[in-house]
Amino acid sequence: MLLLLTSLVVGCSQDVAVETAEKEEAGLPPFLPMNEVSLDVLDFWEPSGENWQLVGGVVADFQKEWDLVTAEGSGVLVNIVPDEGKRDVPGKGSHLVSKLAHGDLELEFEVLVPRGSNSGIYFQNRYELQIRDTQGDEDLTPDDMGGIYYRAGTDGEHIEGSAPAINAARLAGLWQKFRVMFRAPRFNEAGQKVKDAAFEYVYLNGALIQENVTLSGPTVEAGSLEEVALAPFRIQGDHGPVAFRNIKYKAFDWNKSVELSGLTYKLYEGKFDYIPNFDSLPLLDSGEVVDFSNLTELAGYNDGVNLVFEGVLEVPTTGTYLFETIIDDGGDLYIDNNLVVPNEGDPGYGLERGLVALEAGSHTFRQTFYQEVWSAYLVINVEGPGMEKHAIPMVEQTVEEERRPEQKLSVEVKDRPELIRAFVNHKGTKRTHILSTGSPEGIHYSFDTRNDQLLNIWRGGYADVSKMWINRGEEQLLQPMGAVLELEESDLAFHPLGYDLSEAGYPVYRYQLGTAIILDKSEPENGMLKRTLTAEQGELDMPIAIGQEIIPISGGWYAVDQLYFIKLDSGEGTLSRDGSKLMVRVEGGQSISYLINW
Amino acid sequence: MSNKMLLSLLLVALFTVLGVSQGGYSAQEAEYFIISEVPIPDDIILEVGGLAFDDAGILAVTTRRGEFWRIANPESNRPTFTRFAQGLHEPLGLAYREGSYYVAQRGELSKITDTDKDGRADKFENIFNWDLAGNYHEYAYGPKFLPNGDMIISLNLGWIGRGASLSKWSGWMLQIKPDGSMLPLAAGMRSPAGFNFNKDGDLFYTENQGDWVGSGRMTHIEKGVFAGHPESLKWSGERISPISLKLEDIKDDVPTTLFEESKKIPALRAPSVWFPHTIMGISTSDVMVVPEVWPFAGQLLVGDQGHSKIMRVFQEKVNGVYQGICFPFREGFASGLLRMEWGPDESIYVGMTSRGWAATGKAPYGLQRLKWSGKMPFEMEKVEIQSDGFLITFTEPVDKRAAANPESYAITDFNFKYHHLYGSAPIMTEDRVVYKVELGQDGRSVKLLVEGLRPGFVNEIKAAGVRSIAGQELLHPVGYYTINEIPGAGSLSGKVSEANGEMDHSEHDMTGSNFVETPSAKRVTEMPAEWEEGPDVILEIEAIPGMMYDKKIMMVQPGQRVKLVFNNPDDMAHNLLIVQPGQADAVADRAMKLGLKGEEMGFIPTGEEIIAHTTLLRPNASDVIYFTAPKKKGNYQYVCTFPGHAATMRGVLMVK
Repeated sequence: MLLLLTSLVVGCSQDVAVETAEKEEAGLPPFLPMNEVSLDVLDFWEPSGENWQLVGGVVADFQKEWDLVTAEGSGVLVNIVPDEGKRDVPGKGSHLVSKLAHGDLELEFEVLVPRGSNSGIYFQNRYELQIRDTQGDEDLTPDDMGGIYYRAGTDGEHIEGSAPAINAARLAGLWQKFRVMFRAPRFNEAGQKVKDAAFEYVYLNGALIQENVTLSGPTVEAGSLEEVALAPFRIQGDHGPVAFRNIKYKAFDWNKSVELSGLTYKLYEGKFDYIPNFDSLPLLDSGEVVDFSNLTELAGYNDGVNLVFEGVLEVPTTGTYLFETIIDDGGDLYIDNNLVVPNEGDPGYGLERGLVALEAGSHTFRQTFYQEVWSAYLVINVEGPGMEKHAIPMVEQTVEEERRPEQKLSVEVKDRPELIRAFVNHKGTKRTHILSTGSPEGIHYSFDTRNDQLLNIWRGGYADVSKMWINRGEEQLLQPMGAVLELEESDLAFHPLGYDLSEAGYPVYRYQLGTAIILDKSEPENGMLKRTLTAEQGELDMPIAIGQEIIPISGGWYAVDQLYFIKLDSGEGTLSRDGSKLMVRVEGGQSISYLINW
Repeated sequence: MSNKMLLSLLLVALFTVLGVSQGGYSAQEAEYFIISEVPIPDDIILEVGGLAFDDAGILAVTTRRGEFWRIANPESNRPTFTRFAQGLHEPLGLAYREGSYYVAQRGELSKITDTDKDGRADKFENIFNWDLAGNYHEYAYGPKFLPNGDMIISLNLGWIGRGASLSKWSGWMLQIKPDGSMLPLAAGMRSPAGFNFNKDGDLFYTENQGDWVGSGRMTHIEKGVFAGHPESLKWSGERISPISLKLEDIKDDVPTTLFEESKKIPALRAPSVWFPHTIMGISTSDVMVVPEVWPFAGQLLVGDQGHSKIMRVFQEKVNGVYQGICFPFREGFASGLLRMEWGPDESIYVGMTSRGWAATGKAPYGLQRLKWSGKMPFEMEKVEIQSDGFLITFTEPVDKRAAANPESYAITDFNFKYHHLYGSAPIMTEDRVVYKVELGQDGRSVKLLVEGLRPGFVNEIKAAGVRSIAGQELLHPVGYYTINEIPGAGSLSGKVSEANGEMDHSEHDMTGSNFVETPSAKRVTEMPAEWEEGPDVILEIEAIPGMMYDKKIMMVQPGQRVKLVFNNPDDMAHNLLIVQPGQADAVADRAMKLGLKGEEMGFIPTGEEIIAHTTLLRPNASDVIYFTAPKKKGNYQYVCTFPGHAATMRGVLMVK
């Protein structure tokens, strides 16, 4: 049996947040925006060597060592290596160090690694997250892309470190996205370390590759071996060229929170299916409470609960605060008599958010609440500057329970393709008519059978079906077991006709547009995906790549938004004038085919 | 056969023998209708969604994991399984026609063919597809073929704490031509997992208890019928809708029954047969006509997933309206019974799954066969309504003395609420007096003369005192007859019935709480005054999908003052009883036998072995109780006694 310290209130709010995902699309996002590091000037950083420059864009051919061509402008941070192309003389480049000294840090960034190059992010100048061109590596070590690098043992030997769970790395020359939550070490008042530094999570290209990795000390080549509460982060510049963009962060003070004190309640008579005018209701009872956990208890376990809570909010820092209420049935949150979060709670429970600018200091708090029938709950969360989202009042509750280990179910591919039809996420939307194909070669893809679009491609493990085939499978989601490449869809309105299976067991989709009938097949080839389009009848101009910018590189390859590469295997392609579409004509019973590599 | 397979077969056999028995009829039923296994290889997860035989007698099975198996020689000890296809989205129906299979996937009606005859499907045609919102509860069922080759499918409502039509035609039955053109047929469905034609080609669908559905039921479907769940009416404004009724036309602000409303709202059709919840089943599923070569030929069989059993239905048309009676038929199947299909070996193949919805049959899935032994059971073959009572025909000549005695019979009638809340206990229950019995000249029928038959009501008809000439008791002495029309009374349709059909509004309080209040000394909902320091320990436990509690073990110390919070965010009703060690089964069994009173009592029996209990909680409700932990150390149990839940929904309260 496990003894777990959990915050019940936060746990509850997460559950509800999942169910109300649809609502969130319309309202405020669940978190305050992250701080963006300006890449128009270098003033976020301490002065460094000339190898660190701001440019307007980069192109790197995945077929050439250390290749990195830059365009003038700003918005992209690059490390230009002086000894271009000479791999045997690393160490010329200087590092880049932030002026920001951070403790806990949520960091997002995109990185483009030229072929054979190497860099890294040293959190607190001490704990390295590895950045390296290691797409396709099979035996993963802490030296692979997304690894938490080794520590040095007493004789300088490599010890510890954490390899990424899967190889989620993209091909050299493509933009790759990291999302990291770093937890700084904690110290007591005597300055002794009471908790190790940790990477709570690292996502690479959408795949979770590190989870709750603690570090007993700094990694190799740390700026210092002495661990501290606050320190800057550093980007490694001496192992080859690299480019960064869209660097965003939130630095948290783990000690900071909004406190709610002197909480009182007033209970009113009545039973409503809307927020009543409390002033006109007979008062039944009043008193003090510590939190909102006993709503129906306050009303003697009867339905029809009308409450007004009042108290004092202590705000530590002046700034913008995001308040969130999750209520069954409803109620309004007022701060200093201003309505901050209205929440009607229809039907039953509702999740609503509001933004408010608050000065540091005390503010009056008032939360109304009503319940008609069924369950009753009230959860208030807040996020502010330098402060992680937390429930108010903060309730640390000890819950003794046996947690059942989460069941997992996955589908592996043996000697023939495995087909699974399911709901699948694509660019943040749950798609409902999706057939996924897993290949024995380890290249898998999802296809929308209703509008006939290739949506997702991934390498590695095939399908996690835990959210479909365990119990009711309420999410009904197939989850790819690798980092997914999400493709843009065309706006051609195909009419689906179904699919045939090829001799090898791959679906050949058949669809119609006007008089044209197209056959569409995707299969792995040499570690890439090969897609073949055939006009069974009629002719059609079809986009085979869609993006903001499609750039020709060498050998017939195009880089599509520098997210993947595409090359026509047979047939001719035409790049649209604005560079946003690569078009082919499919006609006369003939086939065209192309390769996707990423 | 591997050892593991043998073991699983033995286990299934054991469960069957021990009687995952509902009414306790299983052993007697086995003399007439015999259940046997179709052995499934270890590595096949055969969670049956659809069953169909082809012309060669090969049994095709679609599964909830999207596989499609073909089974040769399913009647033998060594059937051969071949995977014919995969990659279907939870296909819960299957039909065979002219060399191809037809399947309703979650979002598409597909035609599947093996064009090169290599035993593997290679052509998957998209006949028709529909919107999905991405909710797991949006199931699709079918198709069934009309004589003209059109197909009927039905679409489940989504679930968001209530049944909801989140995408177009969810909650409808649709008619689809082979060319893919579609016309909506009928609306008002909630969970239409079973539908079929009767011997006269009329279409019936079965419904599960839930919001707006007081109890399981069967409704005769024709074009334009609205079966009762208002959510589907969201789409009645569509150009091709055959129904003009609007969502806001359906109200439950004053207490009412579905029958009463059907007299005011012409499109609303009252069920032909109600299946009283927990007595006849808890989740109706497939429907089939009893074939000519079996007893009860031409009647209907209706499956029940949660109770792992089959019920029998006799229907008649009175004043042009279908109505009839349901009887228990055969219980004790291995898992949750979803599909039934008549095989060439003159047995019924039964396809089962209980994933996510536990069943009295404990196996997670299964495939069984039901054979007739050749013996005729002594049963009420049919019950027909008369202007002044009921005409019962038995399967064998009866002992005249017993049959002519009014005391051999008991009739109780009742109704269900028609409201947005989940389910309904029987309401307006009254005993009807059998004041005279007339014996039929054929020696095997009796006419019961009954006072005050009430249209719209379900009549529990017990004939426990009747004996066959050979002195045999009835195999099942009870049935439930739903009255829509009374012959000779003229058609009731179009006019509100007078005195006897009108509701007694004093009897139920529609505005009341959603708790089924169960006054009991063992449910203390206010902290005892002497607990000045408050409770010593607070336990919080929750129902989770799949009929389980989120905690399998809770721990307290002897004599501790306990506050227990029980939350039910699930989509079905649950309770929690804390009982003496080893008593969970006994208490659950007694709860099951509470009969018509069960729901009203929250399925909470009385007894020494019960230490404390919550009330029966509707979906999204919670309850808080206070009790003192036993002074004696031990492994006490907690269990949900809602019928069918106890097997999985239980845990251990360790006092140490």
